[in-house]
Amino acid sequence: MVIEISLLANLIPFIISFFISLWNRRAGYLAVSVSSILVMIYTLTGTLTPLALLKVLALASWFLLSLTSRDDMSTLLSVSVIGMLTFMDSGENLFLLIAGWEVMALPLFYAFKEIRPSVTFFAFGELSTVLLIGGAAISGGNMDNLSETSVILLLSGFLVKTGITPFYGVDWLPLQEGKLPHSLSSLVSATMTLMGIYGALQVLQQFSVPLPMSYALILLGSFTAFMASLYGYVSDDGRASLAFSSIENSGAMITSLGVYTLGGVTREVALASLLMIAISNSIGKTGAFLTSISSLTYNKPFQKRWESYLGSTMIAASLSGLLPTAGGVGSWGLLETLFISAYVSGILGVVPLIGGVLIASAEGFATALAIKYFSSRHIFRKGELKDSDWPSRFISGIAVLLSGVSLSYLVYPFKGGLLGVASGTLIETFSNKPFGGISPLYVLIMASVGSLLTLALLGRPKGRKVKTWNNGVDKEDDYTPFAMANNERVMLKFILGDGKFSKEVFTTFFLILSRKYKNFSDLLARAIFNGNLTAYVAYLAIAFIIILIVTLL
Amino acid sequence: MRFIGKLENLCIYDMGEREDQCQDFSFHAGKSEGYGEFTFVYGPSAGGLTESVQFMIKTSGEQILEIEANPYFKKRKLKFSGRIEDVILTVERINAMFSASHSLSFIIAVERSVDVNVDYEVMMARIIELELERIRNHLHVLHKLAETGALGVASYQLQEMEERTNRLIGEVCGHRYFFSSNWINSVKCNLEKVRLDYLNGFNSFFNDMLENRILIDRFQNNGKIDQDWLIGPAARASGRSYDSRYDSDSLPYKDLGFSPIVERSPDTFGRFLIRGLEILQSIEIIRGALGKAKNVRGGEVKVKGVGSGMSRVESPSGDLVYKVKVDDGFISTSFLPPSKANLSFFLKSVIGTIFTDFPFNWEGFGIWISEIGVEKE
Amino acid sequence: MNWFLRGLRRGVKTESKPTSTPPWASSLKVEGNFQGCPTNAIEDGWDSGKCIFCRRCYPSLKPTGDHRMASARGNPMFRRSFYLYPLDVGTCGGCNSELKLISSPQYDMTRFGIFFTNSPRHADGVVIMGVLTEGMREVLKETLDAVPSPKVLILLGACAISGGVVGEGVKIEADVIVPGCPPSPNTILDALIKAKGGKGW
Repeated sequence: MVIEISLLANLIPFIISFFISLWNRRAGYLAVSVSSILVMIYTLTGTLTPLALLKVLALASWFLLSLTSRDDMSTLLSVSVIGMLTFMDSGENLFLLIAGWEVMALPLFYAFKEIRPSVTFFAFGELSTVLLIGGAAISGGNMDNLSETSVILLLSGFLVKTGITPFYGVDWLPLQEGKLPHSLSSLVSATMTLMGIYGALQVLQQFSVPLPMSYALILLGSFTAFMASLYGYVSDDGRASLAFSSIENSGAMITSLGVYTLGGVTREVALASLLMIAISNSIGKTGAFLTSISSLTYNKPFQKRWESYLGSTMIAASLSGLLPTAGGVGSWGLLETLFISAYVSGILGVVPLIGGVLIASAEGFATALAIKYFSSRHIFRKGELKDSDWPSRFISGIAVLLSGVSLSYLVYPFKGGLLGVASGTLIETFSNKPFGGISPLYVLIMASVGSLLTLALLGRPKGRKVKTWNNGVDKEDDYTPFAMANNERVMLKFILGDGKFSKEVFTTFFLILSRKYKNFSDLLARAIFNGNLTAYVAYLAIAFIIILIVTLL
Repeated sequence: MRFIGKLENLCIYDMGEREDQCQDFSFHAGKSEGYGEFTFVYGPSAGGLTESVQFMIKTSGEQILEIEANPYFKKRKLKFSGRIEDVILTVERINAMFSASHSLSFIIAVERSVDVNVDYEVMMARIIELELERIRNHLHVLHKLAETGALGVASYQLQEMEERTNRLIGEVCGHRYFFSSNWINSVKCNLEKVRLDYLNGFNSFFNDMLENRILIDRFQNNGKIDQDWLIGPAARASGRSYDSRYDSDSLPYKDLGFSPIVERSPDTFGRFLIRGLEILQSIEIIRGALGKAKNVRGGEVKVKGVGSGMSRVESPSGDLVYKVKVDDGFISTSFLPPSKANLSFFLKSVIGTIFTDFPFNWEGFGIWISEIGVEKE
Repeated sequence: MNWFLRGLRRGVKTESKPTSTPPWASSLKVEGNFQGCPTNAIEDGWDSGKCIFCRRCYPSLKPTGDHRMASARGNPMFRRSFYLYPLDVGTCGGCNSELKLISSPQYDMTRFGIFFTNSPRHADGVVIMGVLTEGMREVLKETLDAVPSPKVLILLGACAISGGVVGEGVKIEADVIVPGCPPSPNTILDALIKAKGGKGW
């Protein structure tokens, strides 16, 4: 009963916002912002469990989103938020959880501009729901008596929705050009994928999973992160690039969940890293999504403001895992935990090692993705047209920077000091002895001091931009994102294969996988079953010898 | 019956002209899909172009998928009506390289409109002028082709021959581009000074060029165009014996035993071959005509009467048509230049080729933008 | 090998002295009175910049065969290397061809250190030819902006200097004026050599 009351208390402001939005769309957005702040304050006054922090993060994203959206999707937005809150506050009641899960995705059905992608999106959604219902039914609708099967089913349901391999279509598909309006794209990418992580964390906190499942989570998550960042890097659709970045972050979060379930000394650090990556993903994406481009059009130009540059740079740094932003601290923490696990686990440590390698590669591609996205937006801006999205970019950028520098000290368990770094500002990790440490505050101070010192000594950079000579006419460069992406596609052809890439990456992935498997099995068949009589006789002889040895032993 | 072009509202055929529905000139060709393609701007001011013309080429990197030409950057407003003495100054300066063709076509049209009897020797002298211009222009085109193909020795030797021809024209007619050399029933040129000895080795020179693998490779299958509406060397390269010297009675080429040279190679190589062979043919025509032409210098012939007339001559790049209306010394005129049609053909032939092929194809057609972008004042 | 031998057989064609200037692209001498010049070039003596060499004034004005008609404000900075960028703003093709012919073996511009370049950014001098047409107005401005200083502006031909019978000339402050319609390569070479600080051709 207690759960239901607090749930209702959280829902009422948003239900009111829904009705307000029916009357006036802009007022609806304002109401959602106010409600988000209210519920956030209420949540912060309670106990701050990791799940509560994730909820606060979601609320912060909704606040930022509704503050800066200018379309008329507030009705659908409020319904989706109601669903997500229900899902998060469902407590032990698994059926309420599933109800919230359904409601959160329902408004998107009305928002899709074409019928086919909406149906595809919903097919994946319903797959996850089916898995959740299965898991809930086995455990009797109550989170208390979970069995291993139900845990597997529930986890699978949650992870499908986060866009794990091979279900990229969940995130990438609705975010393609022209499918959804910007605010809802932001909602899907930033917060809906977070719900999957929330659900998975809730389940894993209650149930201690066996080792193979942890390793499965690590491998699955890191592989997802790698493939998604690769696809995002070579994509020519700006919004698809950002969607893949979300999937990469989801993969990283799932990997950290896997490390969390391993237990031991890395448990808290993994959880903290999960939180930091979630912050980077949600806040950063919200700011970035309102500024997307597609490959054919150049809508929404960037204006030449220092706030826009700073915000974009910070978001890009966060998405690519660079200090001192939140994404940087999170990536660092995740890699530390993976390598600590590899270090202490003996021969089985090869699994977290592989996970670490894949995550590190994914971060590399994610850096390239983020740099490509933001630099192309800045270089190919068209004139000084009005750009009213710079506040959201600026706020997001500052938010990920500040949370990286401040919040990280709150969520990470071990702090210390080192020579030159003041005590309490160094975030440390341990295996059975000190393993590693970073200090985001230190990095921020050194970077700022260094830059300001350079500026003071050398003054402003004296550059001048000369007008390009283009045959005597005033025609600007017509370099499409496709042209930029294609170079990379050709370079990475051995992974991606040939053919026209830009459409169904999801089907392409399966095609690549099956083609590679077919080639491998062909090779194997030709090598082993090569029609050579002597080879077959040799096989017989070997088999005979092995059986002889086994029976004799 | 072959179609030559559209002049204002008239459709010009080799048999005559009539008001009809016929093909207009289109400076756009090809179609592109759009995705992943970008526009490459070439011109109006670029190093590789002699004159100012703009090409907007849609490409996905190397192959030309769609092209649009804008020859009107240097569009000039010229006076095409007034006294004949003034209009001919304009006519000569429409295109200096084809100046003899333009002014002779104009003059012949005027003579026809007022029924002036032209002396046979004057007609022969005119033939010599036209053929000298043809030799010079063909040498120019061959030089440009060799230069683009980076054949240094051939390019410079052709340029040397072109300069020799220019000097010869300057000596014979007083001006290197035949300016003010022509008038009604008179040709102000010293034809006894015509010496073509410097072209004696041209046959073997041209044969050597033909054996060059680089040229063959770059010219063959580059800029293929094989359709019924073609003029000039492009038509004769495709196997069609279209030539104003043959099917127009403006000048008595038939008396010199003229018949058009025809090849079966509708690409840049064919056009290259035709031009080389026509140089040799023009040398023969000049030698033949020199025997029949005298040193003609005419006085001022007053043009009286009212009338209208048309004439067609073969400029080095194709048929050139002039239409005039005379009213007692005052005249209004309009013309159909060969470069308009050639530009349309060029744009059609360039679709599907790659950037490297472009300059060979362009030079091979011998298009002069200055005569396309001309507007009546 | 064939081409090499062919070149050797033909011999050196480069001339050490200017020859073969056609009469009607050389300076005219005023020997009588004449009214009726279509471009009013004979108001106060003979104005070479306006003359289109139409021969109407003959025999009151007679051609001398002297090709040195150009006036140039030389800049010896380009004495050894002078890169030109040709810009056609509205010609009949004559000036373009005559300019191109100074690279022929008889004249051989490169022995004087004159070269052509494909980009205005690498140019020392801009050769502007033809009457200024509407479409090329912007292009002219862009080109002149793109050429780095110090630059030499050359007006080639009667059309660029005064417009001739065709239109309006290019009204800029030029360093070198090359009259003629079109000017013969001898005149152009003489002008260019003077423009780079030499004694002329």
